Amino acid sequence: MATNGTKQAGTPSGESSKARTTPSTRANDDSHRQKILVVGWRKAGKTSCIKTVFQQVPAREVPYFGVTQKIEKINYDSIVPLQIWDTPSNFELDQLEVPLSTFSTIVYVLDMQQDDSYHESILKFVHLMVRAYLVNPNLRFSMFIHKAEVLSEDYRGENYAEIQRATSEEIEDFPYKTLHSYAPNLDFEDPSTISLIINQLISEVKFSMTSVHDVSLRDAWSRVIQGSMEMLAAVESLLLDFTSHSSADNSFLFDIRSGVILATDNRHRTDDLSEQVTEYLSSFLQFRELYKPLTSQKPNGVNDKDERQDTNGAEVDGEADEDDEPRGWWDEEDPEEPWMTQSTRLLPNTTLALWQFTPYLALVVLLRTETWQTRRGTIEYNLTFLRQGVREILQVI
Amino acid sequence: MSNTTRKKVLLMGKSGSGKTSMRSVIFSNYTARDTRRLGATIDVEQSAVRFLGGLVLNLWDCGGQSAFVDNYLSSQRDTIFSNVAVLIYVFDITSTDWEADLAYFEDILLALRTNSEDAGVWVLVNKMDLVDKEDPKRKKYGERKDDLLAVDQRVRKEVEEDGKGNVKGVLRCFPTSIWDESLYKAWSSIIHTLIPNINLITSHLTYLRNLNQAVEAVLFEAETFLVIAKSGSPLDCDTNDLDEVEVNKGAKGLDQQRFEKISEIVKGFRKICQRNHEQYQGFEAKFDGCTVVLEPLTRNTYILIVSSDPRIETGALLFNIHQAQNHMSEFGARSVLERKCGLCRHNSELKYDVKGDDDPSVSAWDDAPF
Repeated sequence: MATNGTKQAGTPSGESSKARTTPSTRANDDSHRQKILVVGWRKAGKTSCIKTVFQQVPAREVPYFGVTQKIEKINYDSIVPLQIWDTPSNFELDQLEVPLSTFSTIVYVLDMQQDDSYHESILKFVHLMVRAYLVNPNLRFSMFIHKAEVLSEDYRGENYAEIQRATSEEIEDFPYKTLHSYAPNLDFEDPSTISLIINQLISEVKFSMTSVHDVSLRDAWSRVIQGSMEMLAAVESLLLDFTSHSSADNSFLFDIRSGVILATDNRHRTDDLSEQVTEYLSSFLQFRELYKPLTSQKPNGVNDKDERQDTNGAEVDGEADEDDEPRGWWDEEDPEEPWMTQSTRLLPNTTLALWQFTPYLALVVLLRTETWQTRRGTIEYNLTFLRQGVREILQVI
Repeated sequence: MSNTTRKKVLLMGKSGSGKTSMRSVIFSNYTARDTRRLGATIDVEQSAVRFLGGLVLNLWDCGGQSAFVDNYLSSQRDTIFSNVAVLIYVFDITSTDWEADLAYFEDILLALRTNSEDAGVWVLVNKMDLVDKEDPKRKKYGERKDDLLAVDQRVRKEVEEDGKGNVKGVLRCFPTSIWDESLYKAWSSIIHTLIPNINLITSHLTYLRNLNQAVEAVLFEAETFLVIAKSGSPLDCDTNDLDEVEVNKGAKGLDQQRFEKISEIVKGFRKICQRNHEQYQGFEAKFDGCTVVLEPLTRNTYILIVSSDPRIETGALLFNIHQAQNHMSEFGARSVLERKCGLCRHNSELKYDVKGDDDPSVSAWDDAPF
């Protein structure tokens, strides 16, 4: 798709202070994007973490990915527009052409199976965190403990705990004084300053065990993206309202292309459940892909949806705002819009239902089959309000 | 009442070529990753798979180590090779000793032809995923296929010259990999030839499709989700041989492998549901102007109906499917049809015995419900 094309960054040159003074010519297009920096040891799986989710590259192609040679920026339009920076293994902070403070999140990818380089890799991550914290205390940190599928269940949990423990230790033992030059106004002699930083960092960093072969990687990205969503609380409460008023069990708001969960009603959410709904969405999308050619040949009508998909959703939604008459939600609903809907029955008594909200958002609802059969009308009526609410929130930002 | 047909299916090939992996993916809901825990098959493992109610496949999974194979060819020769409906012979494309593999195959084919002259032979060249990156044009597969067809010709001649009979069974080659839909394609093709009353099923599917003004109606087996039959043109026909409805509704632009992909998608999702102790039961969807339902048709089958007319509602498709259920289930389990149906009146495959066939007050199955 046209929206998530990869842009090659120019060869990084000079030190960061120099880059800071020369505004990039692309800064205008990128400024609205939340920037996510993905860093990690050689062959840790940075590129596969990004490509399998945001560029829909199948997991079986992962072994054939080449080595990333230079910084690559991947633009991705979702509920919040993202720009993900993939870095080569020899990446140093000084190679960045923009200030570190412009990033909202740093994702550190660590290969779970490489016991021998854990320590060095963790050290690198902690160093990065401290540097980033000094320029922007609001930066968020995520560690993807990757390639979890290669280890057996027990061993996996053990390693996971060990990596978390080692990271906390390294944060505590970090030689903060050496970074005095980066933050001249902080007093590193003062133990309270240091312990403030330590506490902040330890509580900030989020760990996720990930694998390209299952839903865990999408879950990890889900937490990263939710961290960047200022409107998360508002969307969640809308979902909760909808779910309880419709007697549904759970609702999930998905980013369609990546299959990442953007928000849920947060009730009884389990890993199995997220996995099931994520697989449900991706199975359906694969299926839809098979029959898409049927309608793409038609001369008119259905086709314009694809064009819309390539533009920013907010623009599409805001297209009719010329007249001053009081408007109701129904004015914004286009009955002709071929949004997709789907429902799947599972025995003994669950139904999974899906509605598309915008070109890139879809809602998946889990409910009793009886509820679905008897109250479908009410649910779909409630849904128009939820859809409207979500769209309004999107327009505000 | 029931007319169970038993078919003997031999699964052979050199040790480690992937026979048991295939069987497990197709019949036991294994994922490709799960097959890593399978060990070598010792001697012959027999299993029976019930298909569509009326068809039972007796699968003989024959361990491929040469000690066993020598036995099959000597002392067990008659037991193994008589009354075979299908021989599935699996090769490993990465094998380094092709000549020896081929020699074994020739011995086995000869043994088969002299004992079961009508048996169909499917040669699956497996593990294609391992060579596809370096040989995307599948040159190596082409060469292997030529060799195999040459062996088939030689054996045919030999058997006929010896006056041991006239070989009628054909040999077909498929490149496969347990990691993609190619495996489903090969097995669908095998199953397709074994199913009784396949023409009746196809003509009814075509009727249902036309009734629903749909693009296609496709039948899947419920357990394996292998495609059994489809409306209109034959399953594996060329895009130039599509029937009129398919051409008009744009089926030409569709993926040729779509049914195998659907098998793979549905089986994958079904496995996830099983983990949550739930069972996949069917779906309905509307997207991009298409209306689609996938619904159980009989106890052993699912039907998929795809319409590209945006006015068609899923409820209408479901109604027609439910109307068809009783009649369609007759094909699997019975030898006598007892429902009035204009399509079946002239069939030659099953006995049509309907009381009141001439009575206009009894409505026929194919009287359009609306």
